[in-house]
Amino acid sequence: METLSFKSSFAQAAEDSYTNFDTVKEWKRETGGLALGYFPVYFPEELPHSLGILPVGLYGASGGVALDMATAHTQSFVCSITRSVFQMALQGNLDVFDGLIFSNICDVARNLSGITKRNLQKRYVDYIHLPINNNSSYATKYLNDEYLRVSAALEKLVGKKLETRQLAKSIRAYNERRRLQLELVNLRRSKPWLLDYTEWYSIMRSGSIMPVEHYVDQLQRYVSELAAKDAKAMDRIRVAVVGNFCEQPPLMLMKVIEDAGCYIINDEGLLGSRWLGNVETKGDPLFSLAQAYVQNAEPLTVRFHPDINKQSYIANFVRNIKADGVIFLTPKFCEPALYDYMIYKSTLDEIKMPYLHLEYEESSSSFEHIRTMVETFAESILFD
Amino acid sequence: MPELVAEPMRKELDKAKRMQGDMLLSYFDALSKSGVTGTKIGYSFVMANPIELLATFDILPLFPEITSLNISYRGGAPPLIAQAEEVGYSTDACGYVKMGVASIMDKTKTSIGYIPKPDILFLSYSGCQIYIHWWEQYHYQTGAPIFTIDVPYLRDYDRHVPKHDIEYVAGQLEEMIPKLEAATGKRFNEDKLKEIVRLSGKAWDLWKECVEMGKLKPTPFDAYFESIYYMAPITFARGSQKCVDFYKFLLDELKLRAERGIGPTEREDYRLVFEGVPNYPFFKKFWGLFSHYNARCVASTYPKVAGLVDTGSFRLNPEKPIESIAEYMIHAYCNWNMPVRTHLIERYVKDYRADAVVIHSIKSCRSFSMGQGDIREYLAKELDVPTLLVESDHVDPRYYSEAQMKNRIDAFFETLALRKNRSQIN
Ligand code: SF4
Ligand code: SF4
Repeated sequence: METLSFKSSFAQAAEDSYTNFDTVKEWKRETGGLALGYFPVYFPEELPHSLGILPVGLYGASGGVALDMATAHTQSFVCSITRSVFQMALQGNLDVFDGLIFSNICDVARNLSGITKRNLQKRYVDYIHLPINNNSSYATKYLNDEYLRVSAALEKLVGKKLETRQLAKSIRAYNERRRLQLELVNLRRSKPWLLDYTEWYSIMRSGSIMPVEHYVDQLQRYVSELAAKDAKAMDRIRVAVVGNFCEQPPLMLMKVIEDAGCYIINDEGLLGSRWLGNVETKGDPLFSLAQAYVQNAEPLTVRFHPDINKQSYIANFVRNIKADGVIFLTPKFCEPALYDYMIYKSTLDEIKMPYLHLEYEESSSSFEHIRTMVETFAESILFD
Repeated sequence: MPELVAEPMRKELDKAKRMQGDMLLSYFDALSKSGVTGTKIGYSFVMANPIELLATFDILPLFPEITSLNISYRGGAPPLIAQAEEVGYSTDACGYVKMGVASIMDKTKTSIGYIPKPDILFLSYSGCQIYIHWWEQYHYQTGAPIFTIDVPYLRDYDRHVPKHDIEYVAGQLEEMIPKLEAATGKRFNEDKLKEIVRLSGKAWDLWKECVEMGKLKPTPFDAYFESIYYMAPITFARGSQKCVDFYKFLLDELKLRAERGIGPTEREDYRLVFEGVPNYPFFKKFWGLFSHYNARCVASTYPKVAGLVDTGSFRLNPEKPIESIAEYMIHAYCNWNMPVRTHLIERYVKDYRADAVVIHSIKSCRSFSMGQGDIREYLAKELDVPTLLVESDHVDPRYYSEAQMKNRIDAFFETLALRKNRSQIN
């Protein structure tokens, strides 16, 4: 019973994070605080959090809104998350947010920030340029200054000053969220039969909208209950899904993949929320936050890091997680995902790891063709 | 098809294009001989390249954007695109990336000859995120090292550049010097850099004067279709005396055209501002669809991808070579945010007394094209500037439909004619 109640609160919050943001409205009503919407992939939520602003991920409407208005302003050849977020900005779904913030993940999201500003003139709309020359001795200082710039804008918005102690506290709260989410990632990898993708996703997605303290509290209980659970493993292949780091695939598509004979032991959905790992809180916390980003040598498709070798990374990664195959799941028109696909696939060819490439849009709803492809893929591995 | 260049100026006052063509040929020639001469090839981007620093170390820059557009202009894009798609590149990927990758695959000969492989990949990350991915493809394809200069995007809507951006870019340029010394075995010569920066600054000043000739009524040149030719040397030859001489020559030619009242079309019936990357495989046909109406482009954004020369945003200064290169690198057109880009177009309409705006949106390039619909909404709905948005691609002929394009453009000029008549009556 207990499990059920917090599961349903995860599900409810996740549901709210598409188009209605009721969880945010309620939080604002209760606390009188401000809310900031951020576009994926990674955003230092600690900055608004330490100022009492609720950071909320904008992961798209997943088919929940028409895209007519947005399409007139964008371009026909762009992914659906940018259009659904822009449509929501134009038609008022995002009015609950006192500010919106973007970063340099791709040219589409970048230009989206500008047209959002032009259409919501009075709203605080910002853009963080995260560094890519991360082995330059200037990178951390630059990012530290960039975070200071954004903090100053947020301070102005909320009318109070960022305090070091408070920021360290926020980092600790998000460290805990990252730690628990990673624990869940590992649990899913070792015993994927314990939870299906839909459940996994609702838990992860709710983390993008729920106040972190409340979420961490719930997640703690959930993870320990899940770890103690037992269930029967089925005869399925272990696949790593790669490419869904920004626009979210329809849940139905993920279910189709599972039902066609796969355990999804890894995927990049909402990756930004846990990618950073643990951040040091001793010393200057703002600097540590910047340093954690700059020094993180885990690849992220939307970020370049001169020290990362993507080919050896993918080879080691699939080996370490004991994947039987890889499904590249790339959003239609998402160029970053399409280029990494080329790099990764050349390595998978070399190490003879089977893979499959599928494309999706937020509102895709017919998956029969995909089901057949995945079934064939899974069978070819199972009976190899 | 009407003649693109009006009779009186055909030969006498249209020499700069040929001069540019000759410069380009000798540049391609130097590239093709690099294997023999042992010159290091540094792949670079058009936007925000620190070419002055490369030239100080005698590195020969190769701009895959320039080679690809020239291949495309000569009809050579389809086999390269097909070759890349065959190995798995998506139809949705930028055509330049596909052409670039295919052009250095084994045994590929392009319509401009063999393209040498990179010794170093200079990643000036400014204005385009695909730059990163493109260079990564080359890196894994050839093993060449990537030398990165990360250039923050212009985030401020009033065009303010924070101090930490300039410090960051300048710092990285400084850090690159010992790397260049190691890669080339040459010592850094500051005086040489200063001299190159001085020549570069001169070329920028002259090019600025040229583009501003479009303010004259009638304009002596087409600031989009002719600028496509004129803009190349500021990228591939910048920092040389030859480049300065070219822009001096061009400026004189344009002044003479103005004096004699002639230009690229018989008359000037319409003054247009252009936004977007051209359509290279059908370049002359596309131009013809406008020149047919005696329309001349008076200002355009695309020739500013190499640097926003006419906005007062940067000035190369031999006394502060590194800082001024850093400043220059921030002000590539696509490194400006959308509201600032939109206001630049608005300003062009006003300052160049234009009748309308044409946006050519290309499928390949989200950096340029994402949000162009919003530019149109603003110009047409909020400023009442007639604005046409057409779509195709800069290299991939599969996205160009001649009939459809012509219909759209014809209909647009019909509206413009009506509007003109109405305003004359009023
Ligand atoms: S899905 Fe891809 S193209 Fe779209 S905003 Fe995200 S990273 Fe950019
Ligand atoms: S996306 Fe645009 S700016 Fe970037 S390489 Fe392609 S054409 Fe050039």
